Amino acid sequence: MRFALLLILIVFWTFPTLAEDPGNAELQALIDSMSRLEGPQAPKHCDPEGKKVSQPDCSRLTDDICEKLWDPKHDGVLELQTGKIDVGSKGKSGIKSTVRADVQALLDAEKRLPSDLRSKAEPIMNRFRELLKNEIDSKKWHRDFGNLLSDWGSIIEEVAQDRAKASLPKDEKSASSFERKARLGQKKIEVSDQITRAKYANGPNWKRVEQTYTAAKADILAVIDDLKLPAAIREKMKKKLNSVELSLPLLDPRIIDSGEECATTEVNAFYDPIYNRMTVCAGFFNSYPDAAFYTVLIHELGHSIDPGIFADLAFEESRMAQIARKLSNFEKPPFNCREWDKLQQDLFEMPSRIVEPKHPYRKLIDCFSSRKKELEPFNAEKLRYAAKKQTSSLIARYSDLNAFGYLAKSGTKDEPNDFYMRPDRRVARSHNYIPPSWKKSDDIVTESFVQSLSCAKAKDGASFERASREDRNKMFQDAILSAQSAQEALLVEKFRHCGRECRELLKEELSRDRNENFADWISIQAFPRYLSRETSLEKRRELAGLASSLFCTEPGYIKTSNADHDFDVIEKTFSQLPHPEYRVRRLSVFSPKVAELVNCRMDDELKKGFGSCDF
Amino acid sequence: MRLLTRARIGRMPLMIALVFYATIGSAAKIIVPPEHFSVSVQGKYETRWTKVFKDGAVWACQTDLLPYFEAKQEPLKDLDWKRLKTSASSKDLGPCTPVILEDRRRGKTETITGCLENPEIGRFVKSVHKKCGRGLL
Repeated sequence: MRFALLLILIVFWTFPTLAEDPGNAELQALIDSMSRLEGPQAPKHCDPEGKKVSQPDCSRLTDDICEKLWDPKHDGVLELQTGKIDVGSKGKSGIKSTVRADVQALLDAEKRLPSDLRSKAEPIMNRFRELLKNEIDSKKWHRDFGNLLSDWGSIIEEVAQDRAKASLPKDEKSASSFERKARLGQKKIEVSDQITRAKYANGPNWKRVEQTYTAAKADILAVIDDLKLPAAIREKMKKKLNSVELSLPLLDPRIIDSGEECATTEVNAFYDPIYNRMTVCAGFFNSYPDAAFYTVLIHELGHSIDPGIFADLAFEESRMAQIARKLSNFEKPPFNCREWDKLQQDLFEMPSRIVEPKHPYRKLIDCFSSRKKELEPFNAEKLRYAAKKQTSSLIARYSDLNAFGYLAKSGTKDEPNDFYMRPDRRVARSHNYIPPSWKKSDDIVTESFVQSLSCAKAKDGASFERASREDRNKMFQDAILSAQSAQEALLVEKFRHCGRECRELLKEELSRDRNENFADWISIQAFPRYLSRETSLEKRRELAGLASSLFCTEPGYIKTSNADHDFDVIEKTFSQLPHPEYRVRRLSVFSPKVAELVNCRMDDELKKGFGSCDF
Repeated sequence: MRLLTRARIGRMPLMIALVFYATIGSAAKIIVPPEHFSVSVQGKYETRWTKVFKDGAVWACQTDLLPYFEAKQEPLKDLDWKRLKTSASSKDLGPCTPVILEDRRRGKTETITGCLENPEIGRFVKSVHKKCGRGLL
């Protein structure tokens, strides 16, 4: 047996290309089987430079990095040749590295802060520096650190108030309470975003994001060119991808509305279809290496053309979506009463027959579904039922919040209701009183309600404002029912277009949400391009592990050997949460192309991933 | 006798260290009492958790970011358990970022699971996060 193995190894060393040629799979299988007979050691391969290298299992390349990252020695901080992960709490005080990085970015940005903020910030900055220099894990230290954080928050508030006051017109008294709140809200966002820009716009970590984004976008466009899809679909995908913009994690709802934690410490990245923009949160770009950015950026770019979004594109072009956008965020009802009546008669009628739309990614989506779930039949009856159920739930939600009453009560002369007949202000209120730039097309409840109420007429012809108490009550109720019909019709129309890829039909067992799998999959297709730019095999292996390091299970999770069971993978198939299981995502990185580039063995564990799916 | 003296001298640094740690008690690891309230948001790539507890006369929080944060305002001021529970039970449209609220302040554990996208739950989580020092920078 030893002699046979020796002979094969000699042949293999002498003709290294034999093993790399897919046509020699049998020889490879023989080498593998011999190796198993002789013990756990994998067969020897040669890298392009002719050096002998062992061929590890691909799953080990990712599992090793995760195990190392969270072993007692590294505890969340792992520095390799090709990049560093720092998601631990290794400082003396125990604060998380992402917090320290964000404070440090603020200190470094001091000179770039706007002058009104800088003058007030100076003492706090000095105290922060002092505290970080003398870091210890004591309650007193944490109390001081916390006080500084709170003081910093108060200064932002103070500066925003000063700016809001300064921007008030001379006839301040005429400004409504909404306008005053809106002015303050806008100034708060303005100050916060100025701080984020000062901290990160020219910072080295954000620059890394921008550089990686440029490479990622070029690669994903090249991947699309290679897909076996009709040219028209590929062009549509490329057009959409080219239109996506990258933004700093800002709070301004006219740009992206990333959320306060995203601008500071959150480990996240997302594409928002409403803005057609994507962002990377500070907690992520301050703690992960470029390889992790690359896969995440491609993943997020992939969402701009994922099955759900792609299906939505067809709906967005429909007449119903145009009407919904016209209704969205209006100051005054956009339709005259004749138009509105006609729309209610024609467009808001339920269709009697619906045909399931065919999606160009169907084969690929089927491949992602490890558990073949029986879906409910896709027909008008089922869709109408789903639309009715979801609209009832939405109407109930608005009623719970007294939203209709809020919109229909004019208030008193002394205390007029700022929200009277103004659904746009309800939306603005949830965005720091800034009206967002987007137009929504999936929820027209409050807008249809106000539109209907403004057109309502009593039996004697009186408008809603002038009608009797009894008539007003009836008009109010009818307007809610009218909004309900409009919303139901909108949903049916949406479902008719997005078909089996509708996110909203997931809970009705009428669709499968494979958008996350698709985004991962497109990232996997692009990844070999990134890897091939690195010439050293050793570094390529590192990069392959780091690329999915974001999915290393956090400490505190119940750890058991991977060989023991696949409970997490199985349980995930019953879950309604869209993202694939963490380890599945890590294993999926190893497509046959990646395995070839990093010279690893595509072991059985990889079958849990979906790197080999295709159109 | 000499040996005994040596032994005593040998123990001196240990004794000093013990006295030092007994005096500077606050240097010890900050432990959250079992009676606390916790908010856990399961994000795409990380779980953001916050534990709220009473530390003597003050309200304190421990989070995945900060081991100890003394809250200036009561973090659970906006807590309306019944309202949150009702709100969480209603079916949401669209995406869901899972949120787990656990009240362990009265010995037994009461739990609400819901979505961050739910307005009531989202508002409560945001309020606790802010009061517990998240996103202040």
